[in-house]
Amino acid sequence: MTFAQAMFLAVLQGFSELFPISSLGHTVLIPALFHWHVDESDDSFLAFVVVLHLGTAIALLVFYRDTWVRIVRAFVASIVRGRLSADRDEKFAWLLVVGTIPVGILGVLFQTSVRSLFASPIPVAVFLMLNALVMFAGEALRRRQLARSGRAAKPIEQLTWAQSAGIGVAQSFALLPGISRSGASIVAGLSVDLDHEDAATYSFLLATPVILLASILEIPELFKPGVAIGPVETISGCVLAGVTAYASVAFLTRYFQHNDLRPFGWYCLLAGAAALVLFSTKVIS
Amino acid sequence: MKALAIVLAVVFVGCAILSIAHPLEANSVTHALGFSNDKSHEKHPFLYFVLAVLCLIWLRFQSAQPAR
Repeated sequence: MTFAQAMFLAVLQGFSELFPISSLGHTVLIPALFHWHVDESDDSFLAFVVVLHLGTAIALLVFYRDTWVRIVRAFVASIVRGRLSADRDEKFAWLLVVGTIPVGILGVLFQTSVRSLFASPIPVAVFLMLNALVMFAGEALRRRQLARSGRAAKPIEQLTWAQSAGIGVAQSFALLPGISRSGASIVAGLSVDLDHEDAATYSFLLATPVILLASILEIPELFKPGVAIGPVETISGCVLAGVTAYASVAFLTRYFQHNDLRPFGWYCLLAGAAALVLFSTKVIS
Repeated sequence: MKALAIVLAVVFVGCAILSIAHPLEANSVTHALGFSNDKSHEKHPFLYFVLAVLCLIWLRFQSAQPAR
């Protein structure tokens, strides 16, 4: 992998991790599309991906730094007290814990086997189209709910434990390359009456501990013998992924104040269909 | 529920120890659980310890005096 390719992947990762278009799917499709000879099981490539995830997680932490300070304080206070008070941040903190448990368990137990089964262009293209259909269905369901009941959206703190766990389970579908973490969890949030802005915020907050812990636990990969990734690539990749991720989350939090998932659905549908045609007809092998 | 929290905490600590020692023959189940001897598992022990700690916190929440 050349330096330019590495930096391109850093930008792609920072951008696509938070946009509901599947970063993992794009990491499989783009190198195949451009005939980059990238071995995605190679230790150096995996180490570089760890660095990119670390940059993304740091960007999310920085963007939501005030929220995280409040959440961590409330979390610790509730443990010390031994019970939950009426404080909304305490409920928020424990909703995030409950939502993180499913993706933590399923990710650790099944990530390797799922990726080895599906991380090739044709399955990714199919899952990308499925991702689009899920987003369209989520938007249609939300509009129907609003039309029928006229219920106003509820704030995040009014989620039940089961609803938060459900959003966490939905997020786990992103283990399949082509299914977007944020797309799945935003759709799950919409289905339990969050509005787009809160569903997106909850999705990003829910993703932060998962991405951060997964990348911290994989830092030893960087120091494995045979890993050929220099300090310049490491630092540049981390910073570039972080800056792109920060810009993405800043954009998306504004975007979801007044807009919905459908443009991302159309993108995923068209990109998935194009990739399916190109790879299945061997136009690109 | 207190008993369940204690049992789950003990089970998760046991799983953590097994995933650190990873003594079992590799097959799809032992590999997924992190108990297989085909490679070292970095994330599994962490996950099991976190789950054990959460069970203990759950136990503490059940044991605490209700608010007056």
